[in-house]
Amino acid sequence: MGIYHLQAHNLHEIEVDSRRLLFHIPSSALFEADALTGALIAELRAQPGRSLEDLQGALGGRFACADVATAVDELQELQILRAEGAVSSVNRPRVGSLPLTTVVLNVNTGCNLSCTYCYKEDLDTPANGRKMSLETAQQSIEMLLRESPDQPRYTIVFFGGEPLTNLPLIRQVVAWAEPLFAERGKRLDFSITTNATLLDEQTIAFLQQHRFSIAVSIDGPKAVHDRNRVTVGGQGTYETVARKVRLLLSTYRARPVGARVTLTRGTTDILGIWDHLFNELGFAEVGFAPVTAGDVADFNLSSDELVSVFSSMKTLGEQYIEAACEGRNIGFSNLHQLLTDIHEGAKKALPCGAGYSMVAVDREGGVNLCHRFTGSELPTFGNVDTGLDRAALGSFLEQRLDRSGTGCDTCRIRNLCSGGCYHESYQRYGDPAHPTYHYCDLMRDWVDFALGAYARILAANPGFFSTHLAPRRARS
Amino acid sequence: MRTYRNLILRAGFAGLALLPVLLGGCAKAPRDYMAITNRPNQVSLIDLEDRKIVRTCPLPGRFGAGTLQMSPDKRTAYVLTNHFENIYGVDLDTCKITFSAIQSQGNTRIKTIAAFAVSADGAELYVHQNPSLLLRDRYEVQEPRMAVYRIADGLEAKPVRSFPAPRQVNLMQTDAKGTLYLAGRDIYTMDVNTGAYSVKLESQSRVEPRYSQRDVLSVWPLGQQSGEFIRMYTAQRFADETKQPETAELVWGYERIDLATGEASTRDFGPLNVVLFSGMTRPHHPNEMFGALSQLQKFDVEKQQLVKSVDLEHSYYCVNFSSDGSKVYLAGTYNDIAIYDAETLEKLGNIQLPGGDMSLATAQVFPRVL
Amino acid sequence: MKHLKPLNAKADLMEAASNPEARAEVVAMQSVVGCASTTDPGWEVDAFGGVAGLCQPMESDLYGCADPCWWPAQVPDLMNTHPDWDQNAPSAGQDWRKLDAVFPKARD
Repeated sequence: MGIYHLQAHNLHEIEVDSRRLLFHIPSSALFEADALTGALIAELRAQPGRSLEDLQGALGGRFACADVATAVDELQELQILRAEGAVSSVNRPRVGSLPLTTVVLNVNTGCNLSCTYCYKEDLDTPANGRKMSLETAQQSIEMLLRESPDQPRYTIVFFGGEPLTNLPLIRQVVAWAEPLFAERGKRLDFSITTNATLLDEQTIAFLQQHRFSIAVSIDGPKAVHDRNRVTVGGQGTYETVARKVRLLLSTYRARPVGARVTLTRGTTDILGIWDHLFNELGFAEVGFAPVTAGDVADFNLSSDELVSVFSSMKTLGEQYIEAACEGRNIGFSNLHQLLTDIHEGAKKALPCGAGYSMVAVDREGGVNLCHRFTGSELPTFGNVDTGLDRAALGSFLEQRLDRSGTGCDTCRIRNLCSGGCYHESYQRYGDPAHPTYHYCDLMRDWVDFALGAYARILAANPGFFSTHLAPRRARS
Repeated sequence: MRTYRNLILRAGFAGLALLPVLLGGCAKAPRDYMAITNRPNQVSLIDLEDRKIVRTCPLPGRFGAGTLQMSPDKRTAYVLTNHFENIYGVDLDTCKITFSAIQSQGNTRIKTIAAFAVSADGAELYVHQNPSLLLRDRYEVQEPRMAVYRIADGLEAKPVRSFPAPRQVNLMQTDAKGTLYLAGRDIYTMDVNTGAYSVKLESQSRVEPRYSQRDVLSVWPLGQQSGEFIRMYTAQRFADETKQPETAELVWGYERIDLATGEASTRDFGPLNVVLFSGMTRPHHPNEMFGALSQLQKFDVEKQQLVKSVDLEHSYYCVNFSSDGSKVYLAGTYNDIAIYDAETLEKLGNIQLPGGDMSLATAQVFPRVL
Repeated sequence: MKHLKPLNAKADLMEAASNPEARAEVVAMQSVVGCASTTDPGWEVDAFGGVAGLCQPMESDLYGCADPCWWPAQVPDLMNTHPDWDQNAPSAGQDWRKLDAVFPKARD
């Protein structure tokens, strides 16, 4: 005689438009539960440790016994119910080989701007910028291929400082890398994040020719942008950036161009920023990065501002939902990315690909978890010259994979958030493996919003997903 | 004789060409040779009349399984090595590797479980492949296939065509007409040009009212010396259709294809008292069936009787015969070939191979003029 | 599933996995990717329940069984995982002492 218990940490119920949604956390599967399932779960929440007969009795007035039995089986298969004495296996993922696909090259620590909040710990003025050598770049790419030779598709990301201050290196790397990958029958993509000030027709043509994926760092309309994105002399850069962006967006067809907005203290007008960047300047999409754990605490969003930011994200989210139901994508990256994860049922054991599918190489050839860490005090994971320290990377990732003893262990968004950005953790807590507790509640609420958004769009316009949610990751 | 010898000495080297005429057409007669592989990884050509090793050719890579088929002209040995993955064609006169099929490529791993054969004209090699796709987080078993190689493609040859094939095939043979046989759960024939296959002889799928299902073990493509493709089965034979276990007799039988006519036949040939690993009929004596493992046994097929059984000094897996059927050769396991008289089952001698164990290797015996 | 309606792709997968008809057909195995996956019950004794019918001596049968993964539990997987296990021991009868246990490699 089985005695059943609810495994509350494996499910999350939300109500959307009087529909009962059930998010199955271990798999990120999203179901709509019928009334019986809802009642069954409610019964077990109210009084745990029930036998089947007991449950059938309690629900007998509304639901047939056979149906209750089937529902119990279904929930048991999903491990939402557990029979007493049933052995539950805990699968602790271990890191074997690393499926590296992406290398981020810090081509120049120098930047021609001096944005107030910049997290780059190794930032220099252009005159003092330390540039990466071609040899180091080549070694980085060779290391990538050596460590992970079986991927069908790879990406080289150029970062900085401002990567366009070392355009010659970028050109050299592109010219060298393209035939190298082509002869192995592999696809190679290029990516760049830039402040746009150094774009010109020639450079744009070059980027277009090699089908670069471009992200422009821009904070919004002039008043917002010029607050923080300034030259070394303190001058605002909006006029120049806007001019360059217009030039870029008028000709660039290779891929959609995205805007990357940094939200800091005092910069929280998400709707205004999005409106300007999407509707007025014409970016394909806008992504917001809140500064919550910067080195300089002055730029961190205060807790009130964080609440306000998430609230604005929901407001913009409502607009997104409305547009999506009409078949339009309003380019709100944050929500778009999360909806893609929900649509695909992404079950993230790690918050991102840093140190797993992606590494960043600094000017000295040191291997870092990601571009945010280059120049930081976190020890590197080997060197492109002497070799990747796979053991150290593996240990770090396994540490993060082990959620036991952390709040992530039973959190309902553990497989979508997975503990947050390593760099944020490092900045805030001095430990990249420490979950980002400082905005957990807000994240959970945001994910609930996204689950609801997903369900509503699915009901009104299911075609939206096949049209607009292209897989963000290359499939093997 | 002295006259002839003087003639030969005076004729010298150039004169040797005249010898066949002078000696009245008494050309070199073919002798029996054996080709056999053993560890670490080599194939030897053995003169069976002198009982001496003519030469030993090294093979690249690792051993496994040593399954061997000869080309029709008996000059090239095709050997399965590298833990069931590579096939090399070795010219036994020069030790030169003239053909190779490195089957596993990229993240596809292919194993051939002893199942390959040479076409009757020696131009093609047929190989049964079991592919598995080794992905990062899982393996995917692919459908088995029969791959055709062109021998003339030489080193690192790639299949010129391949067809879906039945699973669990671990022996193949071609007959004189070029028909390809695959021995798996049943014995099939396959058209090597279209890939169409059908069951020639039912084995596992056979339903006999008085028999249990057959059990088969064979990874030795044997029988050419007797013009056959043959493997043995064991089965329980019951008194009647009720299949009462107490009434069961254990029997040995064979499943046989006549390589000259393509005719299939299957029958019990004797009682099962001991385990035998391989067997074939004696050349020129089709009613005598021999099998060996830890004993060498001779059966009268018609009478289904065990005629004679001798204990062997150690187990041997692979049975073969001299061309005239007078001698039995036992190979496999360790590194000695044992020779027995086929009539009396008396031991006649051993041939020691250089190196280590033959384990599952096939010993092929054939007449040839070197 | 009767009481849960799948909404996203992952839910479709979960539903398919729970549906017996949707499970892939089971076919006879013919690939060997590691010897732990093969079983040959009854190797330790012969067909008659004794040991007289086993290969004699045991060493003569070692490679015959290890090579094709016939020897399920007692030796390392020579076919796939430990292809060099026999490198120093070409003759099982004489070299069996050199055949050692294998240990997991340290993370490299």
